[in-house]
Amino acid sequence: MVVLPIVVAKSSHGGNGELYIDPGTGSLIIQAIIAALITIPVIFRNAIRSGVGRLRRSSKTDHPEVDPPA
Amino acid sequence: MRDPGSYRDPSGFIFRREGVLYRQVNRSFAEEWSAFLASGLYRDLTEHGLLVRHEPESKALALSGDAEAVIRPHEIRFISYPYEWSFTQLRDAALMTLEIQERALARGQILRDATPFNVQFEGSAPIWIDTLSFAPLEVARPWPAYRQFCEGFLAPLALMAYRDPRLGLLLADLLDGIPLELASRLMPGRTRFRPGLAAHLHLHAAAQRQARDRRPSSPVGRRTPAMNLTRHRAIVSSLRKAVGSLRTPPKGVWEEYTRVTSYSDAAARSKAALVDELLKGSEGRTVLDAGANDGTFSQMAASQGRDVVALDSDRGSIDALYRHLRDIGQSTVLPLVADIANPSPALGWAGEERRSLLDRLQVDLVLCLALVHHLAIGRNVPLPMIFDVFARLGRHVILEWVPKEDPMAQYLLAGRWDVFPTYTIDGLRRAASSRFTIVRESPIDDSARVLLNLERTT
Repeated sequence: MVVLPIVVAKSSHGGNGELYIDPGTGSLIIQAIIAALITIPVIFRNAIRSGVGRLRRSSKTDHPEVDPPA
Repeated sequence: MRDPGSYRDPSGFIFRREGVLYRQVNRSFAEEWSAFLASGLYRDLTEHGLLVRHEPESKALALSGDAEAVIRPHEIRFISYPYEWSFTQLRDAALMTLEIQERALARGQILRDATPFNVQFEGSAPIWIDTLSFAPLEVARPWPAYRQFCEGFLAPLALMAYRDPRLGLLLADLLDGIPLELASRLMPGRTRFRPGLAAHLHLHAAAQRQARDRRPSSPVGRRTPAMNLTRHRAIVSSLRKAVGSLRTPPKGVWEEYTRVTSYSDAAARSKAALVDELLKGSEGRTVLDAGANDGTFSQMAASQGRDVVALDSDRGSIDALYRHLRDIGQSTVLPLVADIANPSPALGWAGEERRSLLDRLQVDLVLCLALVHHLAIGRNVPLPMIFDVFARLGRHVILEWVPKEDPMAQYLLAGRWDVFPTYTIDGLRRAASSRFTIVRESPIDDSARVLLNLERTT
């Protein structure tokens, strides 16, 4: 089962002129769920990239004194 | 005077003073307004032709005491509404709206409404007209205009693409957009397997239903999950894919057909030369091409520096014309889907929010080529009543008379009683004379058709 990385925050729209239309509670919730779902691949890709990057950096800079294998 | 259609947003409104169009920014919106100007978004959008330009004006021009600023927006020559656009026009307007939201996000702003009524066409190019549509991005909150975008753009486009292009007309009755539960019910079942439509239309409709069925006091109803910039961008990108994947229905699906013509080459050449000559000899900047068909004569008028509205009830023709104009970069012809025998009425609050098509279409010259037989025979409109409407539209009329013996008139008469004894050129002259003077009559070579150049007398 996939656990959605959703943080539940209280909505406090209105009052500052930002919202004069009805955004629709269902629309706000489903938008956030869709957004979370479709960005999972992005998160994975970024995690893999940064992991690979870290490995590369560490192999170049962390052990410069290590002799290359014979 | 305040524009009767500009009342929904408390941040400001459109008004006219001595005929000049202004927009008042209210004090309650002062913070958002200065943040918008400071963000650089105005320059970005106007440089890319996405937002209407404006000039700052003196606050003394304000219509009410709570003004923060007054601006003078560049005025769009012809106002049109989404229910008068073809499929591709509405789709381009949708894609432009998403581009604006994307550019807003990049500058820490958000598009706070996304109704197609905030889009106008300057000729054949869409442009956003509501300068007060922007506010600072509060990144954790979902996009408040998501619902409006889906109901105003995605749902009608999906219905037009998957069911029938005529469903764009639903936007005339449903000015706030097509309710998603209705759209979801009308869509073919197979669209539940298309990721974009499954998410933004079908699931979205289910979520709305679920939220509505909950008691308003339920705490879940007042909570929304948090967003971040990546997620905001992902929503825009996903909507763009969903809208971009919708295609104009194949030709066979159009309910009408592009009107075939019956000219010989010589007649076609003669007609083109005569219309060109009459256009060159006429005054005024604005032209209505009523019954524009493939837009040949709209483009001829545009090539002479006129601003043209190309009107036709054939959605296929108007869509093809729009795509052609967009591809060649012709931006002084505005193609619109409308039936001159049943023009869009005044709609919305007090019947004043959206003006009727006839009220919006005041031009210098009406081109009315091979149209009168469609109105008089095809729609049973008596000739004098046709000229009453032409007289409302413009001062000059270039009219092509198609006699009853013409194959196209015969086509309309086939299989029905000929109840049109006054449909003769003399009948036309008599009918025209109550409103117009006939300046010139020019027979078209190799044809029984005649071009009449008329000038309004009353």
